[in-house]
Amino acid sequence: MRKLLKYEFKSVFYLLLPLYACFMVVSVACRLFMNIEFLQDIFNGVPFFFLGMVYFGLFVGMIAISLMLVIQRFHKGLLSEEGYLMFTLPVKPWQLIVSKGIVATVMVLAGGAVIVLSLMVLTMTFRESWEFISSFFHIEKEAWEWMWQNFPTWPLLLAEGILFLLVYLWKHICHTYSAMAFGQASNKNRTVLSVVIYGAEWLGITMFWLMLGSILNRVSFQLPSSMDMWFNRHYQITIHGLMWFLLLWQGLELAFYYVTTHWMLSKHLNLQ
Amino acid sequence: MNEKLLVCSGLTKLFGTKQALTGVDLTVGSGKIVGLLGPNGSGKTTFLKLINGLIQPTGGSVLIDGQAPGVYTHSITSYLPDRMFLNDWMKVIDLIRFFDDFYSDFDFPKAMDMLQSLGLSSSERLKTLSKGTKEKVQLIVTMARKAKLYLLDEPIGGVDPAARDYILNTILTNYSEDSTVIISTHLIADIERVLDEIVFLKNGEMTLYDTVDNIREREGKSVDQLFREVFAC
Repeated sequence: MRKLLKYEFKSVFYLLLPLYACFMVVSVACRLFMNIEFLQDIFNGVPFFFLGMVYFGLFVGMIAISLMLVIQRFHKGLLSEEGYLMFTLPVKPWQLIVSKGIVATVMVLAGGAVIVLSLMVLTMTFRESWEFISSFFHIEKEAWEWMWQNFPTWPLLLAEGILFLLVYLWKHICHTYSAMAFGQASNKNRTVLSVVIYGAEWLGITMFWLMLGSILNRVSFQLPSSMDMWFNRHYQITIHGLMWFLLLWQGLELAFYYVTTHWMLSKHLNLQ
Repeated sequence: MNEKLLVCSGLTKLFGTKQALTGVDLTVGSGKIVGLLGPNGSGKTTFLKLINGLIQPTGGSVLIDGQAPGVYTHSITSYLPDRMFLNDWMKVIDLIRFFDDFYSDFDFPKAMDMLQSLGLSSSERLKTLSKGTKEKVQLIVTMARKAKLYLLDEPIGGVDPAARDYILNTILTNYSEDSTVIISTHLIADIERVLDEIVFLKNGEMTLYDTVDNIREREGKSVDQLFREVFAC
């Protein structure tokens, strides 16, 4: 797995790192133009306008390329020519899928971090940026005391929140993998089929939850007032319970997409 | 010496309604160089992909050293596909290190030696190489392994005659009692001298499997001549 990750990270970041660097350089240049008035007036503001357009283009490009790479690295890396190399390695299909998934997750998070950093460069001074970042680590003493007194399990909630974000992200990544894995089984019109499968899977799962909700709604009962009181008194357990419900919900969807991807690539691989 | 290194039983593959391979029964032992011969569309590439598990059989089975295609069989099989599997961002040395990382039987010094023999630089980016040079690089990483089974799909199709000789010599020098080489090609005249056995495939069916010596003795002609007769248009 470590070797697969090394190879996958290299495949992706040899392209992304220069893009990140370019984006940050343009962000700094934009900030300089914004801060120094005479620069804005050079050639009637054409360079400033041009720089703004470049920034906007890179901003959109960063998001588009990150999303495209998630799809491209799976499609080209496993289901096209490169698949002849990857699927003849002495590794299991789950290792191939998980390594792609981990790198895609890191790629999306890194892209997000670079965008936030760029916006900070554009909108804050160095000191403001530092204060903004350090504010996360220097919460007022009163706030700490309030949190420890009223919600002592907040670190657990934070961990649950991060886990939820990761599971949510993995679910969407695995959803695209699953659609492509089904699409490759076809002898022709693979891309069209992948798009159709993507929609069908989403529709199927949404319908399933709606039906389940409808059934539960029919058999639902009014909670006794004592239960309401219990929830109010044990609000921490209630909030954690809600988080675990959300995690279970997204986790089940993630499991479905992962299992279908794995099943297709291990039992119905079709590298024509 | 394994008498049943590769065992195919009733191996069949359908693409939709098209029959790509029909009931191939074949057992190949260790220490052989086998020519997989047939015209275009006869099922050679399909056969090699099935052995590698890159496509799944519609019927029948494949066993390599007693196991179905999977992690173990990939660790003892070295496959050269008929297309480029290279990732363009890599340099030649990156690819060699990649193979060295994943295959315990990869011989790094041998790969570097082969690179030098073919006059290739390890620092070149793969995307800057010509098609023929890329094929040579793919062949080097395939043959630099000490595998039990080599599956070479058209290894000499896209290279110049001088490199062809080098490739055939490379195959011959890798030949050992423990390893078997299956070469798919239609350039029979070039490889006939290195073959021990041949398999003829015609429209997805195996029409002949015999040793080259038996064929020459029985038919009184070379494999190339026989091929031209059998597959005459």
